[in-house]
Amino acid sequence: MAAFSHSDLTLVLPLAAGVGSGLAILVLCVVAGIGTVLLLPGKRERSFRSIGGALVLMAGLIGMALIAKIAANYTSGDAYFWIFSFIAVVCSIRVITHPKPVYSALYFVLTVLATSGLFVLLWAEFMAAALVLIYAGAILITYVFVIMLAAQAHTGVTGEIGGADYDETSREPMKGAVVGFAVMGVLLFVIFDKMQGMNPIEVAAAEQPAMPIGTEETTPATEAFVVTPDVPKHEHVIEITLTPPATKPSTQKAQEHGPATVPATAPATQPATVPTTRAATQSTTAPTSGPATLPATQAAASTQPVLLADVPVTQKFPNLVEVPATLPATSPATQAATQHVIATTSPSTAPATIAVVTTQPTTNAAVAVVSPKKSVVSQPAEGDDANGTVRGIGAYLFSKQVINLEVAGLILTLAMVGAIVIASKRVHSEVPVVHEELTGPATPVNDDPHSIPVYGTDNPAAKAFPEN
Amino acid sequence: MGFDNPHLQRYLAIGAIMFVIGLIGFITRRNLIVLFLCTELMFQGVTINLIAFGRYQGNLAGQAFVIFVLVIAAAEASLALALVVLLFRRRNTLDADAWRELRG
Repeated sequence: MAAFSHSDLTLVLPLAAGVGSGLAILVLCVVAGIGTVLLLPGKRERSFRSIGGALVLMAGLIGMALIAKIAANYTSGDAYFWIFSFIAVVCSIRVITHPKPVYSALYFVLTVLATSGLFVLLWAEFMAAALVLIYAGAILITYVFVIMLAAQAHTGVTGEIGGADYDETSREPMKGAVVGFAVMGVLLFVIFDKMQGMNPIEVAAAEQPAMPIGTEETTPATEAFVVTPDVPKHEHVIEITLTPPATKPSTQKAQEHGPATVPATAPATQPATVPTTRAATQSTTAPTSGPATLPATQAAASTQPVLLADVPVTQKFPNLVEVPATLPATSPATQAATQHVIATTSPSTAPATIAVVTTQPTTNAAVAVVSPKKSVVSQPAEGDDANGTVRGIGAYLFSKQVINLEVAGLILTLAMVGAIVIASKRVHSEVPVVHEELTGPATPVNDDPHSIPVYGTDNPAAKAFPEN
Repeated sequence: MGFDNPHLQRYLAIGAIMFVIGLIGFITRRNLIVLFLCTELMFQGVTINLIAFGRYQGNLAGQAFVIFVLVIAAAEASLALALVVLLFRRRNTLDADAWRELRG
């Protein structure tokens, strides 16, 4: 009965929430659209504009509250997300509604800063820095230059200080707002209703086996332990490289040494379980004292490593990861849950090195067994945290996107050349230049010698016959 | 902290809202420079989407594509501002309606 009611609730609740959130999205989009129409620059009173601003603000706050209710279970980093997204949305509304283009550009700088904050929350630190550098540092500067030049020329010609007519009025604000908020409503409806209960990563994780075994590659020993560059730091990385499998693996047992050794007790063909845990706060190195003899490595005559697995495991995986390796390595990472364990056998006798590296405090874990020619290569956790993203992006770009990167550089070069060509082209103004001396004399000529002092005044405008 | 559906939905919603605000500005404003500012605003929404999806899928493709989006934005800004300067010197105004005959 309880199970039935639970399943019934899980069937009914998303439906009701879906209808409710759909209606709420519709109402919010209508309200925000009316507010935006009132807020767009036009020939109307200031009170209407303030009403429009209040409407948009109210709709935005209610919408954010709805989103917060949907994502109610997740509280980590929430405050920063709401602050940054609030700044981004409010400033982008001010970008499109401010009657002065310079202020629009400055509000756009604020939007860029808030967006880079969101990027930091998404663990894209390098992209946040690049966004601030490129947008706020380069692109917006050129925008402000052009705006200043145009505004100076504008006030110089007409002589009036203030906004131009095309800045004070907007073109068909009603139609624009209707189209825009219809698009927004459809997008938000799809995001919040159609995506409920859809989680492609869970489906993929359920369908795939946890480890695509069978990629036996004979690589040199020095290239065996290579940190795969395209795997970001937030994933479990299980990379096991070992010498070829033993001929008599089941007859040998490995001894256990020390508190942080790797007990290899299972037969070689039996799947070993590597429970990786999430918390790693300390970093201890515990080399084993004795000659830890692992079955697979003892019988191995050649030192050709076999790349067994290179498995990016997403965050959706539980802590237990089944590793069907031929090496019977049962890493007690749960015992060392708060430690950064590097367990090494002595290099003289045992030709295998086992490193259990837990580099990320939350989800990162790496299990590596390297071949004997290679000493222990384990990056420090803090170093990985510091430059993992930048290094990962660089390796990704230069290994998988080389052509695209070159094309992007070519596009930039061509754009620069094209901009120079366009801007250096001589054009003649189609608008006749209004010269002031054509409209008449600057000062009316008064022939009466007694009305104004013709000579002897300092004001040149008061002189009837100004001497040059 | 996992990054699952509600997190993705929040970021997608912010990206969609910024994109639509840029779209409304592009439709309704008349200043040519503000029009191109609104396209940059739309680029911002798209980059938020890309980075959120990259974080969701756990790979670096989203961030790499944001680099290409930045490249396109820079190229577009340089060409568009050169064109705006050219048009301003010809008609002595930044009004987009001054070029109304381009509608055909």
